[in-house]
Amino acid sequence: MERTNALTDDQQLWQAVRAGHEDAFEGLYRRYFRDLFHYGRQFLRDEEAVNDAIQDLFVDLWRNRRSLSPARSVKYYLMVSLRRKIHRSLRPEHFTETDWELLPESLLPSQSSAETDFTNREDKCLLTEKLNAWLDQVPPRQREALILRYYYDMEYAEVAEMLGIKEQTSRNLVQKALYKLREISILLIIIIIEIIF
Amino acid sequence: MEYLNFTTNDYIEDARFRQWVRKPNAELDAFWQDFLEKHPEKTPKIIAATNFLLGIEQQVEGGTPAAAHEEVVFQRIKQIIAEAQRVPLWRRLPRWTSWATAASVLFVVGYWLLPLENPQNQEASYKTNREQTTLALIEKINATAEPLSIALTDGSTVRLQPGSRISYARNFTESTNREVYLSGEAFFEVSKNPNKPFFVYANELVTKVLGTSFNVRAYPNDKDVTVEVRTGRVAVAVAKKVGDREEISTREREGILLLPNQQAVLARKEIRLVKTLVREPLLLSETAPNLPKYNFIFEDTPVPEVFNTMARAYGLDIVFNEEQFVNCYFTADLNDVPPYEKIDIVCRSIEARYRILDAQIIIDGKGCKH
Repeated sequence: MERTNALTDDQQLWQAVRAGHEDAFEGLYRRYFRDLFHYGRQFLRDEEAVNDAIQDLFVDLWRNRRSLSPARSVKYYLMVSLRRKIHRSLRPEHFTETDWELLPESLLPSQSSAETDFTNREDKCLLTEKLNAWLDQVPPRQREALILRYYYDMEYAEVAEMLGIKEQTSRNLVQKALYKLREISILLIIIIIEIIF
Repeated sequence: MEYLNFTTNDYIEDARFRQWVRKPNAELDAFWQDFLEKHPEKTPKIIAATNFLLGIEQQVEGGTPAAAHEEVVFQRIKQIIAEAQRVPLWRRLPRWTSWATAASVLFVVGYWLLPLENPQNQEASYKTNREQTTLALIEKINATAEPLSIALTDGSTVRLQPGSRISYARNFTESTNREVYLSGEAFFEVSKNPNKPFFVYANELVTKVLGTSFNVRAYPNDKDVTVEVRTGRVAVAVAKKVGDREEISTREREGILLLPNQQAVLARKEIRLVKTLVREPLLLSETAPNLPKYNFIFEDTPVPEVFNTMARAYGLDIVFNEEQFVNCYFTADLNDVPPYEKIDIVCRSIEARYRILDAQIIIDGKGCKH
């Protein structure tokens, strides 16, 4: 229910921007700035560089408002545009893309793997920190896939389009990352039990 | 939804679950709390899924507050766009009016985006109205598709329509007057305070009230500004800056008084203020419960009495020649009939017609035979 309402709002805002309404343009900016900022920071450590990219994105959006087509998903459009902008500004060696299509099947998880086990609510803070530390070590594209799926709520098809891969591959990518994290979490539980006892 | 058989993975894949963890609302919270109470055995899996999602959230938002940059970046965007607008304006104007060109360019630099067709120095816009005051202002913008309710510190409420914005003093209750600047459309319910009149500045119109409810419609590109009164009394006049011009007549300058169900329409270009009736008048008893409720069942009722009943019930001014209609009688049940239709039905039964002139309803007819 919430999702449909948000989409309709977005469509109306988008239409209003195309028609040249400044208020809608500002509304669109304020609605998505934070999401875009956090997304940009996945690729660039420098906050000012992220600001510049978002600035260029919105200036171009306004300049070209009349030639914009109706967006299927405004959030997706803004994010993919930002990603493109950032990548064009980076030199090739700063950004490595692994070809996930070529992954051997054996490296992909099977259904019967152990469950993630963060059962102790009181240790949530500790676990979140550890989780962060380990997420930092997950390969960039896997981390991006996880974030797009579980933070930005994108469908696998959208994640795939964003990363330039097949939909099935995007599912595999996400599951592989989850599998890795499950491994990590089991390790963490053991550590905690050792501390208690 | 088979939430009962869900694994941890299933929970994180579920959009409703994710929303509950990241951006809960009352409905979702109630649902999941209830679910946890009824199925406590699912708690470990739900906690695991929750912690995972929160971990991802930490990872994405980690430490850097985006809000700190939001305003700064937007100002830069506005500036770049404004500068870009200057160039086409220079090329557009004819060469011989170099003075006019300079004045227009000044305006473009002053305000970041303008509808280029309007002669800006003629009209009072939202922006120029706001500049009148030296007080620090708060601005609320409704960039959503639904009306937005805003509560002011004096107890008044404003229902702001989509695409509209409103500004008012930061210390609203401390200033000598209660002043609000509107662009777009809003419905006001003003709390009574005879010592502090409430002013709404909307384009070229100023609305003054002590305590009442009314709707103001003043979009930047509208040809008219409209004020409709629901309850109370409202005075509307043309803004001083505009009213001070020689050609404006007393009526527009001194203003007119509106009663419930009346509306004022200001034609912006001509600066002409017209008082008329709202499209859908309401029974006064509907908006003020302590007023008497009228019954519209008539049986051989003299027509003058019928019209008087309607006038009192709706607060309308119905003008007719008593002598002319003294021999006319009317029978019908007009309860639940819309107001203008009530009048129309009565008129047609006596071969008369009604017209609305200056917020009065005037009945024209030959009368009835003995």
